Amino acid sequence: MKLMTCPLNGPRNITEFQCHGEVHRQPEPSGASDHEWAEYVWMSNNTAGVVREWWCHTPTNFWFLAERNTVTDEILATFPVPADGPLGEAS
Amino acid sequence: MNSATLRKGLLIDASRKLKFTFDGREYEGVAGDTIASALAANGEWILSRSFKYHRPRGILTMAAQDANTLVQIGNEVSVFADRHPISDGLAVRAQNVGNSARRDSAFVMNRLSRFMPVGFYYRTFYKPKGIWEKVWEPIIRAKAGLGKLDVTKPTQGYYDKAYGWYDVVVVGAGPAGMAAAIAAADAGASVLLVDENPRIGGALNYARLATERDLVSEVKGHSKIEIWTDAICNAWYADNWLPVIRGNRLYKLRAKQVIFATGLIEQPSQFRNNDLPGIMQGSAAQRLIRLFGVKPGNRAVILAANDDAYGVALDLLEAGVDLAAICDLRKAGHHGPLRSEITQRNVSILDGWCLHEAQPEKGHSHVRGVELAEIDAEGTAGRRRRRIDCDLVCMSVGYVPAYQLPLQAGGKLAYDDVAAQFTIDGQGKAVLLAGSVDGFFDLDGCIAHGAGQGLAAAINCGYQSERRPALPVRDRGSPNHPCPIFPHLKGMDFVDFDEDLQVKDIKNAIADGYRELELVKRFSTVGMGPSQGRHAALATAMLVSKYTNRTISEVGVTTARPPVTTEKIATLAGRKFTPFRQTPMHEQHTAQGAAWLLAGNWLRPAYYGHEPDAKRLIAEEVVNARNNVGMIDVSTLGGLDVRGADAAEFLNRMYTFAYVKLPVGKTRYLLMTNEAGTVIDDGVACRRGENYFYVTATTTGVDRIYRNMLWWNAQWRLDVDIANVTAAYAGVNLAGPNARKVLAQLTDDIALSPQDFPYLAYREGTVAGIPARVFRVGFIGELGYEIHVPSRFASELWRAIGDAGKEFSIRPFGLEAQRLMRLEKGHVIIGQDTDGMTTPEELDMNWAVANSKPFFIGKRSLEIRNKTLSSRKLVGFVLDRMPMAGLQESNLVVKNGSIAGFITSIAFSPSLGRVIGLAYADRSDADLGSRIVLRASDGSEHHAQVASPHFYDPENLRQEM
Amino acid sequence: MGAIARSPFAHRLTGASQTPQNENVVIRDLSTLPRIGFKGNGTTNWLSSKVSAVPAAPNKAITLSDGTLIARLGKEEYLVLPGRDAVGSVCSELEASWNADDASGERRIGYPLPRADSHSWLYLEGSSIAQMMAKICSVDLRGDRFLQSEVAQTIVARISAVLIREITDGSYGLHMLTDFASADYLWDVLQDASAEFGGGFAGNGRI
Repeated sequence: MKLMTCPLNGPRNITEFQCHGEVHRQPEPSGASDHEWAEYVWMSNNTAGVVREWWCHTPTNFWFLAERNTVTDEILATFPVPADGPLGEAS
Repeated sequence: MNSATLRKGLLIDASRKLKFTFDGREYEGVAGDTIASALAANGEWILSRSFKYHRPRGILTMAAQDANTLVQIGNEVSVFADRHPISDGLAVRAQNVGNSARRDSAFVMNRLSRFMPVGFYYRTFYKPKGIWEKVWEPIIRAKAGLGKLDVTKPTQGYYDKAYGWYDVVVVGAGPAGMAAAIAAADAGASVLLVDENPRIGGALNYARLATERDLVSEVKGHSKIEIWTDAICNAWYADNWLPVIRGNRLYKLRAKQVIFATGLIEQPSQFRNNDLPGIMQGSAAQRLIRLFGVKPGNRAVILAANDDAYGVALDLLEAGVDLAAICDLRKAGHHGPLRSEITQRNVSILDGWCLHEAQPEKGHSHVRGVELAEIDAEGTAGRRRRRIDCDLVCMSVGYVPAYQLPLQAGGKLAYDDVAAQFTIDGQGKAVLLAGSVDGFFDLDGCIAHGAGQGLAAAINCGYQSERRPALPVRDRGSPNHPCPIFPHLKGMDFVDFDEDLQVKDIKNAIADGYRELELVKRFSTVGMGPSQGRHAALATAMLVSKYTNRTISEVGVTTARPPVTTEKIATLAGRKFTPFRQTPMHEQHTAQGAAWLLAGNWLRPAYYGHEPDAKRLIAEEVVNARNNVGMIDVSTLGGLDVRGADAAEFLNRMYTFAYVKLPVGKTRYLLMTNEAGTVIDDGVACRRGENYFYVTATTTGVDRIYRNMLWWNAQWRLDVDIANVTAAYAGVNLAGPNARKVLAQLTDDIALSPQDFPYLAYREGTVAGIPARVFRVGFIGELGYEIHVPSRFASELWRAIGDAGKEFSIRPFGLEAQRLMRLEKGHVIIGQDTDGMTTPEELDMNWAVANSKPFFIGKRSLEIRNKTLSSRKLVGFVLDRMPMAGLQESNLVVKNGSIAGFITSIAFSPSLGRVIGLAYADRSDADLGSRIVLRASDGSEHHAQVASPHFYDPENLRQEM
Repeated sequence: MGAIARSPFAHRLTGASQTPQNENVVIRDLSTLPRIGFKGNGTTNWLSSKVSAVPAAPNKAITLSDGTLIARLGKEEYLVLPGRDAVGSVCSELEASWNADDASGERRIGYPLPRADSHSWLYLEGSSIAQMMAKICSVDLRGDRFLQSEVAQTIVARISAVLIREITDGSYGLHMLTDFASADYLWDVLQDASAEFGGGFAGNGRI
């Protein structure tokens, strides 16, 4: 059972969390072509390496960001969602 | 083979006699005996019959490592006889036998063995087609298998689980493990020392080892060390998560550092009949003598390849066993301290000889003697032979490290072909190895290594120590023979005892082209039995390397996966934790005779009354609500408080409809699509205030919807707060033509006239003295009030409505009646009438989509999807009567032999007197009056007529009363 | 308001429930007592202006001089529990105060949460509580690890729970707030888990 450190609740068993996939930028809906929009909805980068992901601590429904190496499954860092500014999305 | 017994051992109390039975015969043992040791003390050496050939098998390790000792106790199968203690009245049975372990009619299989080569099953039983299922499988299943489980019997005993937390968990309480535990605890760490044996000490308890330090007393006296004996660490999982089975409890431990001091597993030698009872590991004989006071035989031959063998020899002599010969696989010139002691004792030692064949007693019940052979230049059994009578053969030819746990922890196994030794490396910083598992074979080295690793673990945990971990240097030599395999022309030289695999089976698998170890394993099943290759993996690797001209390091070994040893399903199951939710009116529904239904994890009344009358009761509930007044508990409906300056904007983005201009005191339907434009939820938005919406969501969807809303707003950062108040508000839907009259009795601060409280309005006030949120919606299509109150007061509300409705003969209705009435109205249930592709357009619900809004989730995708409409549409349909074959939800709609869609809802409508339903049908058939073909589960086809899904009161006059 | 608040455990307490055989595990139902939550932007500022102190960081609690327990569940989220001797006015006072501020047009003052209806409230007390909890909760709640006034928001027997450590008369105490609708389930779980310690339910209300 992996451990994950929640920025709010500290280290917990990974079963307390839910992964919501890679952080990726939503294109401006009105500006994006149909193709670009379909890419955004359906395609994942599926990067082999360090990715930035959405995670949720389910007992508190606390959303946060994590950097995880998808090759080694090592969780490198977790941090709260910044109050403003970008989320560090992969494009 | 009745050996005179010593009956004085570390684990037994010879003064306490216990009686038990094996295969129906009664035996006497003593307290502390295992089944195997007690039987051995009684001269019974056959514990089981082998898997394929039904050969008698007995003690091999006395360490609960092999399938030879698996027996059945009651309804519990595959219990290790050399681990499980006896108790008064214990009834033990042999497994995989015709009648008893002693007499097994299936032993005839032994003579048929040459007709059953490796891969036999794959080749023989599959032609002609179908014969496997019909003929062979039942026969083979009856013959093979371990133990007989009566699945109709419930599991006996209370099984549960618990979590635990330690700085350092040490697995294995031998010298290295004990030294590690002491060193870690001395540095301040909290330490758990786990050992599968009943007593800590490891090899110190049975082997000829002596230390100056009394490690056992040091461990027992240490306040920071907790000791668990009879406890099995059965796996390593990520971040040092360790399942430890202790009795009927499974502990799930989290350790900051784990030290594996799991020791060594002694390996057998391969020669003809090496599986006979009376042939055992040297360490097994030592365990029998020292731990259980059992004399393992009267006249022994020892097969040696290391100095430990001479320790076995000394032990046997001290136990009063005649030593017929020691056959040392090594050429002359090896001298260890124990061998030096033996040479003074006038024992015949044959250097450079091997054991070529063991000779059986009648019926293979025991070893009777051996044929030794001088090893020739090729390393095989040469021409010079010697025959010796004996009833005991002890094998001490080498070890493999107990590498299962370290490998699960990410360790990589390498093989040193020169030293004939495995090494383990790369298991990460939080996992340390200590002692012989890491290649330390002398006692002092093990203890020093354990102490160093223990200190290192404590320091890794953050404890300060003035001392630095000092790790000793490994010995250059190893006690392992490079290849103690001496194949016999007539076979029966077993590599894998579990699976009855002989040397030639491995050889033939390779000859068939399976050169890679993993393929050899899968083809031959080597290592797949209960012992998981503990005694077969190395021998197999040696054979594969030999027959493919590679080194063992090139061949490798097969992967080690959890669990390390057998575990019961009951242990894994533990207690049953299946959460369920109840509304505050639950007890009242029970009193009213509710039949229950699980909706998500909520228990809801399906209908009220006894099951045989279900259809009638549901119809009556419908009729009463339609013609009079009914009440239903709707507490499970999701409830969200959405508050803040941006609340309306937030709903505008989350849902398809528009909410900015919704007046306070009004409700509006909510439809949610996901980013792909698929319909995923619906509900009602009640505007309580300018910045305050009370939003309902589906029972099963609300938790997901709530989480999803928080996720979106983590990105949008709107000034809005969302709270999931589902459990906080209970609800009753009061519906039917008399609903207003009932409610009028319960409130004096909410004006109820149609003008004051019209359809779709939202009001607040008190109902039965309880503060309530009341709104008029029409899910079932009658005049109705949805009354939501704080859950603490809900049972009071239910009682009050029931009382007020008495004069109108109000009756509660359940989920079944509600579902039926909403179907009569053509209201879809998200998740039942929709699937992973459904768009609002397919549901004819574009009226709920505000395309003028700049954005809502799914809007952009729907623009794309609506350019090319799908081929299907959700339609209503009617049939005059239900066909005999029955039509059900998920039955297909077919058109020209192809699938056009499927039925999503279907029921007999008591209000309309015909069968009505919703189905996805071909878009070209969506016009009213079209005919569609429904295919029943039995394949029969039935015509239905497409109709407006608003089957009942299509003008909505009743709900807007 | 005429209706009387009812605990979701009420029907179990009146039934043949398991009573404690000793002081190892004693479970009390406090669900009928008031409690309230506040959350949303501005909550910390607003609440700080109403009470003498709020916890400095999430997952900490403080006890005010009148016994009121304030647990901080997030950056902008709080749970208020009345003290053992309090008559329970603090929650209604805070709610009234919030309503007044809201009515007067104040913004960014957070929002009240109906915790008395969304969550049941048990108080677990005794020398074996941590051991019993170790069977149903993966967070280390041992007395020397989970200290006075610490808060854990986690999962207990597969349902979400807010756990708050309290020391009363030197003995181990734990507030447990869980889903109101899961009370029956939780009762069965606790009855099963506490049986080996001779534990059980000691009626409702405080000692």
